[in-house]
Parts: sequence; structure tokens; C-alpha cells
Amino acid sequence: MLRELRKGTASLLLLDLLAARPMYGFELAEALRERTNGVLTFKEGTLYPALHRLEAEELVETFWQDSPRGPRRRYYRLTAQGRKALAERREHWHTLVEAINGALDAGNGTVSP
Amino acid sequence: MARLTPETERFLRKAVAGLPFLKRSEAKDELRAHLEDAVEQRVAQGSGRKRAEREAVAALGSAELLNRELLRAHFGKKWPLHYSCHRLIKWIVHVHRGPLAFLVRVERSPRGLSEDSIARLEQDLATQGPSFEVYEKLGLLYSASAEHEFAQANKQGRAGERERMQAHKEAALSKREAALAHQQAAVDWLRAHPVSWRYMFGGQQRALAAAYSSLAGTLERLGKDDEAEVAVRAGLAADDELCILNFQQAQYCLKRGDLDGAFHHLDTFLDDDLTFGEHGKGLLLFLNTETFEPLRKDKRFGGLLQRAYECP
Repeated sequence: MLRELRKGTASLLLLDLLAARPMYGFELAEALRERTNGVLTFKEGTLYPALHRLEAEELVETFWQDSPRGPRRRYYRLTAQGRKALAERREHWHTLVEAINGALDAGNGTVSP
Repeated sequence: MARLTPETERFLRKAVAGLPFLKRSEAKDELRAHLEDAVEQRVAQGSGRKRAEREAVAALGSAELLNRELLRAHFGKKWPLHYSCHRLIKWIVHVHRGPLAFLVRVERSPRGLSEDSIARLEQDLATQGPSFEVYEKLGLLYSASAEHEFAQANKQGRAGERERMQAHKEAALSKREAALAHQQAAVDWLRAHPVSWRYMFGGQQRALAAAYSSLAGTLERLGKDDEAEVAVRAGLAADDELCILNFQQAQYCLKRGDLDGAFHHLDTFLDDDLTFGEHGKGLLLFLNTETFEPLRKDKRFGGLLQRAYECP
């Protein structure tokens, strides 16, 4: 369950991070770790397939840039379609969270015999 | 930026295997950049470089899983089909020993066959106009025919027939020049035109790399070592996985005393099982030659021999 939830949230978090500015893979991995306080940890290897999927869906586009220190990097940035998808996914996420919170509050933690 | 170990390079190649050629090379460069960043970060935190690299690779997970997920990302639900096709094509190429099987057959053929083929292809060139295929074949045939002339020159020399020996030698040199001209034309053609469908499996970059490799071989045989190395580098820029180019570059590295470079390129040579079959066994023979003498004193040499021996 947690694994599935994590898989679904990965693309949302990636799109959200990229909404601020273009970033490269390693930078995104670090930012994800920081933002979720280590609660949602992604195996670094799952990051790149997720990014490549977003690229295939044309939600992000890539460009290469030399770096003054370190290797040449492949940056990801949101496309117009990506911004639209981010807004929709954010809304879906808030609706889902509200619905789950509502259901949990209504149950009030009681367990039927 | 320090070079990653051959094990890590192997991990990268495994992780991106089966992706479309251009995507594969991009994905590999991207993962390599990630690993270099991760290594630098760990080193800055006090880890030793080797340990940092091991940990950075481990953090990416297994190469097989990463490969499967990347294939899924690029091909969607059809990824197992693409993966199976990739494996099947590799197997077929392995069985037929790759594009240079053509050369091997020519070298074993009686002389007349090469001459007839050259005449036929020159005719094609005149009537149908230039094409990569014709330039490539003529380059190989002239090259093989030049070697045959040299063998004949040696034979006549041993028999004391000095005039005949000289005639064969001149013919050999002239054929080498002809080979060079056609190989250069093949490279120029590929740089300006898309590759024909017959080469689609390897793609434009691999065909260009192979053409540079042939060109470099002839330049070297003509004693133009500097130009040959430039051609090898250009070939590696087109496709850094083509085994024959890595073998050629390893020799240039050795000439400069760059053992790390030589081991890196020989390791990459062994990884490419797309182009040749049994190339590991071939390497074992070459490793016994004087060229590779400096490698034998290095502790990595045992590992290289083992890999070459185990290579399919």
C-alpha cells in the first residue's frame, strides 16, 4: 500500500519541484530527501525511470548544460502541459487527502468487534 | 572529475541496455553524471573514493531493475517485447560474427574473388552513384587485397624474385591508398547522409564509428599514426561502445603510458558482445603480444585475462 502510494506521489513531487526551476537528477534526489524529511525516501534508481516517463508524457523537457564544477548535466524543466498536469494532480491529491481525513475522522478510531 | 571504475561503467551499460541508441547514450551519460556527483558528495563527507563509488552505485539499486524500469518508461507495456527483440538480434549478430565476417570471408577467398568484386563495385559506383555501402565494401576489399599483395611480395622475396616482389609491394601500397580513399569517402558520406535501413540495427552513430575504425586501421598501416588516433577518437565520439575502436584506443593509451585508459578501453571492448562473437578469446591472443607487455605487470591484468577468458 505504502509502496503504491509512494509510486503515485513521486511524479507529483517531481513536477512540483520542477515548477520552481529546472533541475537535474542528482539535485532532484537531494531536494526530495530534504523536502520529505526522509519520510518518503525513493531509491535513487527509481528517480530516473520516473523522470523519463514524465518526459515521454511530454510533461517535462530536457536540456544539457555544462557545469563549472562537476560533470555536464541533463536538466529537466516543466512544459506548459506539465504545469497544467501539476495543477490537476495537486487538486486530485488535496481532494483525496480531504476524503481520507474525513473518513478517518468519522470512524474516530473505533474498531467494531 | 575522476574516471569511474570499469565495474561501474559495466553497471551503466547494463542499466541502459536495449534502449533506443540515442536515448541509451543520453541515459548513460545522465546516470554517469549522477554517480560522479554522488561520489564527490561522499568524498567531501570523508569517504574514500572507492568506497564512495561502491555506495553511490548501491544507492541506484540493481542494474537489472533499473534497466527494466527504464525500458518500461520508454516502451510502456511493450517493454518485454522490445527487450526480447534486443536479445534476439544480439544472438543473431553473435551467430553471424557481425559486420566484419564479410572481411574474414574475403581474406580467405582466392584472389580472383576480391578483384572481381572490386571491379563490380567500381562499376556500381560509376553507374549508380556514390553510397555508403559501396564505399564501405570497396574500402574493405581494397584493404584485404592490399594484404594479399603484401603476402605475395613476401613470398616472392623469400624465393629471391626481387622484381616481382617489388611489383607486389607497389600494388599493395597503391591498394592501401585506394582503401583509404574509399574509407574516407564512407565517413564523409555518413556524416552528410542518413544511414540505409540495412544498418538501422546499429544506427547512424554505430555505422559512423565502424567507418572511422576502418579508416584508422588503414591510416595506421600507412604509418600515419597521429591521423589514425584522431580517427579513432572521432569514432569513439560517435559510439564509445564499439569494441574494435576501444581496442584501437587501448593501444594508443599504451603508447602514451596511460595504463588506466588502456584497461578502461579493453574492459569496454569485452563488454561489447554485439559486434563480434568470441572476441574475448581473440583478445587473449593479442594480450600475449609485445604491445600489451606494460599491462602484464599491473595487478588488474589478472582480472582482465579472466574476463577475456569467460567472455562468450
